[in-house]
Amino acid sequence: MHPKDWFIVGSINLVEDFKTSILEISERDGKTTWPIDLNSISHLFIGEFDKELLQDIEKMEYKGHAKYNIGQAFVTPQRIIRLLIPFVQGLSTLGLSRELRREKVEYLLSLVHELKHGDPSNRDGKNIVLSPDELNNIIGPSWLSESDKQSSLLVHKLCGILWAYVETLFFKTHGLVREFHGPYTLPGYDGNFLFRDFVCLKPTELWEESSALPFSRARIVAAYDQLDMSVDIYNHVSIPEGRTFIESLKSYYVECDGKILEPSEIDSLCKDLSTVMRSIHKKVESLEWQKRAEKYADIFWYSKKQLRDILEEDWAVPEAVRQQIQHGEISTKQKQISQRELQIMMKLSF
Amino acid sequence: MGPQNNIIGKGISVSPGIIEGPVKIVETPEDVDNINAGDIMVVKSSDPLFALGVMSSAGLICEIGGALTHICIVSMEMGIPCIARAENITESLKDGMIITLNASEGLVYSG
Repeated sequence: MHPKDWFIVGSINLVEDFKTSILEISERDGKTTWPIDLNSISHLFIGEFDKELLQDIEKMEYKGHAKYNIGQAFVTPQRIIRLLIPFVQGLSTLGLSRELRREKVEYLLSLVHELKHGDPSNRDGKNIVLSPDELNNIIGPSWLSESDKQSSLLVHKLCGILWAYVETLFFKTHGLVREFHGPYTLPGYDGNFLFRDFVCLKPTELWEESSALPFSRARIVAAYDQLDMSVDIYNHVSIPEGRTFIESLKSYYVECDGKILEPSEIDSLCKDLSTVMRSIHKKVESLEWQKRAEKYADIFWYSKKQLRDILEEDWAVPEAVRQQIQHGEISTKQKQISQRELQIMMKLSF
Repeated sequence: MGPQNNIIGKGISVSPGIIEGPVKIVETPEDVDNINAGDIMVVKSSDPLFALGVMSSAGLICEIGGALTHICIVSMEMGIPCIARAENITESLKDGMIITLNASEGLVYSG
């Protein structure tokens, strides 16, 4: 039996584990509403997004693409996870039965399963994307630099700025463009590895300002000493109370587009990120709500751009959707879904 | 803390550490540019640009949210002492007021 087959045999686990994991974190989640509450405007485009996404996947399958390749078109497993709740909300507008909706959710979760070595919903508190062999091949021990207080501060400053940077560009849905995975252990190495991958720093199709950045992708690999970390389904990393990443960093490397950065280059990248972030933030703040909603639609469509690239089709938001947003209204009733409402929605929807 | 230090606010610990410094209340992204090194930043809401303020400040007090509020996550990443859910704390604080933030215990003291 293939090591992953137990998920397929007992496929109900995929969906139920997902539900449990989401509910566990929803109480603690930050309820971010900058620059506009996604729940108040998603009804203007999410149904159409779902319809296209399902069609795109169908076309990929028709063209003979294997499930793993379809999953890869989403770039990271976290992107699929982050799309799932809005996706479910959109499915309800398409008139599908509960069984069919559950089937669609299960399919997307099976793509996550294809892309990850570990539990698709991080039920064990770990986000294990890489297999031991992949980990061995990726971590070049010679790349790792020993950390001191100064370098630890610098590396974690970069982590913080990158977080804020992707939030500025992708709003609440910045989880679409980052994957925090681990903790990993490496034989013969005393420490827990955490990978912070930022996979889309220059989405020039969304923000031309981002072209000023020197890199498209950043990976921060950090080995922490005796730090018990857990990673939830939305890739939030928790550490024991009283501990900090700064004091626990043992060694690290920062890799951007294949290049290992020196401390001076990390510092320079922090400055570049701040500059681009300020300029995009200023632009967003000047937008009317309809334009902010359109930007959200752009972000959703952009998240499946690779699928469209493979299919050799235009990825952009259809004009009809833009019109719908322009002539639509903000929904006050859908603002800030409570824990109880989310629970009911997940029980009844799929 | 000595008897001269009164507790003026409570919250939940997000990122540990104890620091003393002047308060800087940040309400708009523009306020971020007025933060001096050593200031303790106080926010009522979260905005991605506030992260640039966190970078310059010595500590962060967040009136709302919790450990997964984005600005709190940023402070945790950067190792800046931080508490969240310090309800109505801005009513007790003014810019320039000297306070002590015991982020390990989730407590704010005057002086």
